[in-house]
Amino acid sequence: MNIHFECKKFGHCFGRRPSLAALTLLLTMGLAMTGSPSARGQDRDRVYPIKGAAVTGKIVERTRDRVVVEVRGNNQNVPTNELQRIIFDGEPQAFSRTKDFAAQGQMDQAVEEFKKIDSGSLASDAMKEEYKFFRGYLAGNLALRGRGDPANALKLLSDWVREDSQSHQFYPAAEMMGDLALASGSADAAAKYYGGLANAPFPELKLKGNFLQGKALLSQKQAADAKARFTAVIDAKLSDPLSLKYQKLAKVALIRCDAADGKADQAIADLEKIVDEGDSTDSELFSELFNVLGSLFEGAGRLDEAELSYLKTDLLYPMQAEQHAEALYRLSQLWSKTGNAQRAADAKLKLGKLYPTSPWVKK
Amino acid sequence: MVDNQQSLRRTLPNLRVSSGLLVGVLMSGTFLASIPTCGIALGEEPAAKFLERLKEEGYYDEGLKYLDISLQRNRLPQAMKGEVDLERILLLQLSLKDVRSEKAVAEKIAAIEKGFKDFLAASKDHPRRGETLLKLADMYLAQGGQYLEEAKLEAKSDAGKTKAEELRLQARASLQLGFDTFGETITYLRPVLEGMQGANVKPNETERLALREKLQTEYRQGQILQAITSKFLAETYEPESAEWKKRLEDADTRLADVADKSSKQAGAKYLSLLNRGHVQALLRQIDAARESYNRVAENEEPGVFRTWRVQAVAGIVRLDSSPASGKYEAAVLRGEEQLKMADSRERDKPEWLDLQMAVAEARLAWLKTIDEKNDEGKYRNIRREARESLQNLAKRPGTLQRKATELLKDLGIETKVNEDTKLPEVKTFEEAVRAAQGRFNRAESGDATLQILDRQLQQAAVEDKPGIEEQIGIVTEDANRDRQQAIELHQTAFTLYRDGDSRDDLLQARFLQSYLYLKLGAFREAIAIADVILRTNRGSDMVLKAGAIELQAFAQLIDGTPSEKQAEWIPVFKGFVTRLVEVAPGTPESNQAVDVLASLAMREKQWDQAEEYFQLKPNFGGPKEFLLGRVRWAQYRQNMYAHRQDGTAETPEDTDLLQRAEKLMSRSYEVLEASNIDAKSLEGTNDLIGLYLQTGRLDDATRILNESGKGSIAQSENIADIDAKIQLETQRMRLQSLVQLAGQGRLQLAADEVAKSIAAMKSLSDQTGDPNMLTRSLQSLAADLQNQLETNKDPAQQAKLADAFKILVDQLVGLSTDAATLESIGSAMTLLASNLERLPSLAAKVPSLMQSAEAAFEKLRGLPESELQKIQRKPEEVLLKLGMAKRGAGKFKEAHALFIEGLQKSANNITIQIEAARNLLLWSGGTDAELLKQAMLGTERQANKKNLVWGWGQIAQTTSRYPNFQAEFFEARLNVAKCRAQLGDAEPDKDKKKKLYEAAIGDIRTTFVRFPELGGKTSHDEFDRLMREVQQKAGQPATGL
Repeated sequence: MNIHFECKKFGHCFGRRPSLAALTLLLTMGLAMTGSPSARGQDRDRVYPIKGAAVTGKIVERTRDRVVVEVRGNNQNVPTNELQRIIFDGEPQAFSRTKDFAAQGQMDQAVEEFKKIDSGSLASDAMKEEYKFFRGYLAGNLALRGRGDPANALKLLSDWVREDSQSHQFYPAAEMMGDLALASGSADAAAKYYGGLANAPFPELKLKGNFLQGKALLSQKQAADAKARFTAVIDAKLSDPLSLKYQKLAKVALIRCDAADGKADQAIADLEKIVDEGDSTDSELFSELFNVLGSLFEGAGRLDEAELSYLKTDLLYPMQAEQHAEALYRLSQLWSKTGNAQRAADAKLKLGKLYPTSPWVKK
Repeated sequence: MVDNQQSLRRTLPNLRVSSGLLVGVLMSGTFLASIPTCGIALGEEPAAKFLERLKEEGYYDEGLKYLDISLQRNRLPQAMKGEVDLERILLLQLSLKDVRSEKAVAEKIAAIEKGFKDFLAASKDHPRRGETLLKLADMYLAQGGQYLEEAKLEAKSDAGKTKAEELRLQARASLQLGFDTFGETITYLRPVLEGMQGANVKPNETERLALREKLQTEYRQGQILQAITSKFLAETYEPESAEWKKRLEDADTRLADVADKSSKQAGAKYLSLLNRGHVQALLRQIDAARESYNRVAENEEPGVFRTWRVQAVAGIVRLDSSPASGKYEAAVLRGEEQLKMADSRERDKPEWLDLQMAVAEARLAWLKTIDEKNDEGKYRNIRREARESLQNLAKRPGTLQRKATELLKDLGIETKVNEDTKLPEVKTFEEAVRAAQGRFNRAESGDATLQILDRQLQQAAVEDKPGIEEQIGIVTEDANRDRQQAIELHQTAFTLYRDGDSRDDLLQARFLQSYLYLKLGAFREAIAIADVILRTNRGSDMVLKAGAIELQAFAQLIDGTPSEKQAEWIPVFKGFVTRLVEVAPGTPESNQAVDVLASLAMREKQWDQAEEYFQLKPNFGGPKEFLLGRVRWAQYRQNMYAHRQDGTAETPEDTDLLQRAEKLMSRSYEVLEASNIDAKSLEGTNDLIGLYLQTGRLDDATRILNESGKGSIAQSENIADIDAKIQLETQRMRLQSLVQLAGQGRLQLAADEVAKSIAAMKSLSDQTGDPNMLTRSLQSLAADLQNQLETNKDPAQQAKLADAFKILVDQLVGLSTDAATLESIGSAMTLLASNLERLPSLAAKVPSLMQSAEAAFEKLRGLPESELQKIQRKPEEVLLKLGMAKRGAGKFKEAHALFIEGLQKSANNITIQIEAARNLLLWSGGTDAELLKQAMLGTERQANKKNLVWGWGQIAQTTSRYPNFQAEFFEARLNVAKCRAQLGDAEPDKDKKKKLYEAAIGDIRTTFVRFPELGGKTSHDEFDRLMREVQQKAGQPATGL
C-alpha cells in the first residue's frame, strides 16, 4: 500500500521497536522518576564537609538546608552551611574537578574544567541539576570579574532556581544572584535575592544575608532600612570568623550611613581605628574601608587624602572587583576635578577594560 | 687600537644599560627587603606595601604626599617613621625621569644629593646605609655618563672642542665621586657582612638572614658598578695615555674579582664577565677577552642572560675581525650563526641590531684584505652582504643609523645620491622642525606630481609608458624618503626641545609626525602620537585633527586584521573613542568613531555593548542605531514567539528590550532626512511602524507611514531601484494599519482602498519572482493581527479587530479572482481562526472567520485547473482546505461529503483520511455514538468490504508501519482512546460504560507500554491528561500514566 502525505517533511525513524534491554531501562527510569526527587543518589556519593572527613554513602535527602547520607544503614546529616561539595557517584571526572577548583576559589580553572563536561553524559537528575547550577554560577563569577554579562548569568541562575529551589546549592546561588543583580544595577532585585540568605536557618548565613541586604538597600538610598539591617548584624551574638568579618563590614557601612548625616570627622576617626586594629590582608574589609574613607575625605574637601585612599584600593586590592571598580571610578572623577585629565582618562579606561559590565562604568 | 677604542665607545650605552639591569637582576626591592613583615601588616596601615606599589606604578608625587600627610597625622607604622626622609629622597630620585627642563633636573639632583648626604650623616648604622650609598653613587655615575656622551657629540666638530674638554672634566669629577662613593659602600658593607658570616646568623633568624642576603647583593652591586665607573673614567682621558690604561686595568682587576667570587650569583658573575670582556678588548688582550666573552656566550639561560649572550657574541665578532686577530670569516660565521637564532620579536632590539652592525663591520674589514681583481666573485658577495645589512640598519632610527649611513657612504652607495636627499644636520628644536616641515611639504607635493603622472600614464602611448612608470617609481621613492626623513627630524626635534621653545610648534610637529606615520603605514606609531595630542591638548583645534588621524589609523589596523580577530580591537579602540568623545563631544569625528566602535560590537553580536557605545554620542540616531534598533525589535519578537510556544508571559526584560528597540528606531527615524533615504532606512522605518502597530500606537504608525518626504510610503516611492520585497512590506504595514484602525472603529474599510492595496502587493510580489511571497506577506499580516488579538485584553476591541480582519478578507474574496490571492487569504484566515480557537473569549468568532476562509477556497475551487497550476496547487489540496474550512465553520456534513470526494480520487491519502476522521469526531459533539463509532472504526463501506473512510483505528494501524508518520500514529491512538471514552460517556448502561472506559484505559496503556515516550512531551501530556480523566470516570485513582 502506498500512502501519501504532501504537507509533511519526513522526520527520523520511530518505527523501530525498542529492544527488551532498552525497555527495561526505560521502565527503570520510569520507576525511579516516581520516587522522591531528592532520593535518587547512589551508594558511593561523597559528601565533603568544610571541616572533617568526607562522608561516603547514598544520598537519601538533599535540600537547601541539609544533605542526608545513608552510610551502612545509618543516616548522617550534613547541614548545607557546613557543606563544601558533593561528588555524585558516577559523575564525570571533569565535573568533580570543576567542583574541586570552585571550592578552592580557583574559578578560572573551574571554568576550564566545566567546559570539558559532556552534559549528555550526566546520568542522574541530581547531576544535571547541579550542572545547570554551575553553568550559572561560573558564568556569574566571570561576569562579576568583567568577563561576561551579569544579566545573562542572572538569567541562568534564575531559571535554575525556578527548577530546583530546594537544591543544596540554593544559598550560594542566592548570594551570587544578589551580586549579579547589584552588578546589573538592580539593587531592589539584589535585596530580594539576598533575602534568600537572610531567611536561612543558619545564624551566620542569616547575618551575611542581612548585611548584603543592607548594602543593597543603601545603594537605593534607603538609609534607614539599611541601618536597621546593619545594626542587626552588629548586635548578633556570634563569634565565628565569617560572622565577625561581616560585623566589621556592617560597622563600616553603619559609619558610612552616619557620615551621610554630617558626622564625617568622627566617621573618619572610627574607620581609621578599624584600620589600625584590623588585618590588612582581609582584602574585602580593607578595600571597602579605604573606599569609604576616600569618599569621606572627598566630602570633607581633603582631596589629597581621598586620592591616596582610593589609590590604596586600586593598588593593594585589585582582586576585589566591586570595590576596585568603585575606586577606579572615584579616582577618574577626582582626577577630572583636580585637572589631571590624562590620569582621569587612564583610570576610566582601566575601569572599562577590567569591568566592562560594571555599573560604575555606566555612571 | 683604533678599532678597540671605537669598540669601547660603542659599548658605552650598553654599560649604562648594564648598570640599570644590574639593579633589576641583583636587587629585589628595597623597603620590603629591609623589613620583611611590612607586606603583611597586622593591626596597622599597610604603609610599606602601599608605598612600594606607588613607586612601581610611577606615582612618585603621590608617594611624597603620602609620606608627608601620614607623618603629619601620625599614621605611619613605627617601623617606617625613621626612614621617611630616605624614602622621600628615593622617591625624588625616581621622579627625575619625569622632569624635562635642564634647570629643574639640576635643582632636583642637588636636592637629592643633599638628602642622601643628610641621611648618611645622621644614620651611621642604619640597615639601609649601604643601599643609600649605592643610590647616591649611581646618581653620580649617571650624571658623569651624561656629560661624557655630550662631550663626545661636541668633539665631532672643531667648534665644539673646547666645550667637549669642559664636559670631559665635568664627567671626570662626577665619575670620580661615583667611584669613591661605590668604594665607600664596599668599605662600609664589608665589616657588616663579616659580622654576619656563617654561624653569626642562626637559621631561625629569618629577618637577619634576609638582611644578610640584601647586603650581599648590595656589596656585589657596588663592586661591579665601581669597576664600570673606572672604565668610564678611563674614557675621560686620552686613549693610550697612562691614566687611561691604569683605569682600565683597575676595572679589569675588579671585574675579575667579582666574577671569581660570584659563583652563587649568576647575574653578578656573567655581567662582570661581559664587562670584563669589553675592558680586555680595549686593552688588546684578545685571547683573554675572547675567553670572557665565550663564558658569557656559552650560558644558555634565558632572560637577561640571552641579552648578554648576544652582546658577548658581538664582542667576539669584533675581536676576531680586528686587524690584530684577522679571523674575518670565522667572525662573520659566528655572528651569522647567532643572528639566525633571533626570533621576529627580537630582531629590532638594540643588542641584536648591534650584532648585525658588528657582522657588517667584520665583512667590511674582510673586504680590505681581499684583492678585488683576483677574487672578484668573493669580493662582490661580501660587499653585497655588508651593504644589505647596513641598508637595513640605516632604515632604523637610533644610534646605529648614522653609523650605518656613514659606512654605506664609504662603500660608495651614497655617492650616487643627490645631495638634497641627505638628512639635514640640525642642532636646535627650531631647526629640526623647520627641516622636517620642508621634507613634509616636498613629500606632499610629490603626491600631487604622482597624480599627474598617473593621469599621463593612462593616456600615454605604449612606447612612452616605461618612461613614465620609471618617473613614478622615482617620485614615489623620493616622497617616501622625504617622509622618513621628516619623521627622523621630528624625533630629533623632540629630543632637542627645551623650555624656551614654542609649544605650538611642538604640537604641530607631533601632529605632522602622526600624519606621516599614517601615510607610511606605521599605524601603531600614528596612533601613539595622535593619542598624546588627544590626551594633552583638550580645547585645541588640533585635537579633532589628531582624532581623525587616530580613527583612520585604527580603521586601517582593524581592516588589516583577520575578521575573526577584529573583536580583539574593541577594548583599545573603545578607549580612544571614549577620550575623543570626552574632548570633542558631538563632532563628526567623535560621532563617526562611536559608529565604528558600535559597528564592530554589532559585528560581534555584542548588542548590549553596541547600545552602550551609542550612548557616548550626545546626539542620538543614525543608520547604525536604526540597525541596532531593528536587531532589538527582532530579538523582542523572537522572545515573544518563545513565550507563546512555552506558554509564558512577557518579562520586564522583554519590555525593556521593546522600549530600547523603540527608542533606537524612533530616534533614528526622527533624524532621518528626505535627502538621505535608502533601502536600509526604509527597512528600519517599516520595522518601526510594525512595532507601533503591535504595541497599539496606531497614530504613531500612521504618521510615520504617511509622513511627507520621509514616511515609509514616500520612501518606497522615491528610492531608486528599491527591492520589491521591501516595498511589499511597506504595503503590508499600510494594510495592517487600515485593518487596525477599522478595528478601533476609527475607519470604515473601503473596498476600493483594500483592492488598491492588494493589487499593489500582488504586483510587487510578482516582481520578486517568488510565487509564495504574497502568501507569506498575508500570513505575516494574519500572524501580527492574531498577536494583536491575543495581547489586546479588551474583549470589545478584540471582537472589533477580528471583525475588521474579516471585512478585509471578505472584501478580498469578493474582489479577487486571482488564484494566489485567494489561496493566500484563505490560508491566512484558516490559520488565524485555528489559533483563535485557543482563546476562550474569541472562540465564538471562529465559525464566522472560517466561513470567510470557506468562501475563499470555494472561489478558488471554482477556478480552472490551469489557474491552480500557476500557483502550483492540485485540485485535491484545494478540496482538502475547503473541507477543513467548512468543518471549522460547523458545516460537518458538507465537509464530510468533500472528504469523501477527495478519498474517492485518492483513498490512500493519509492527510484526507485524518481530516475525515477528525471531522466525524468533531461532528459527533462527543455525544453521537454512531458518529463516534464511525470516527473510530471508519465508514462508507465499499464493494470490496473495506471502508472508504478509515477512522482512527485503521489510521493508527497503517501509520504504525511507516516510520515517518510518528506524530500521526500517536494522534490516531489518542483519538481511538478518546472515541472510546466518549462512547462511554454516551452509554447509559453502567456496566457497559465502565467497560468502555476500561477499554479506553487499555488503549492508552498498550500504547504507553510499547512506546513510553509517546511521541514527545506534548503528546505524552495529552495521553496523561486523557488517562487521568478516564481513570476518574472509571472510578479508579487518577494516577495518569
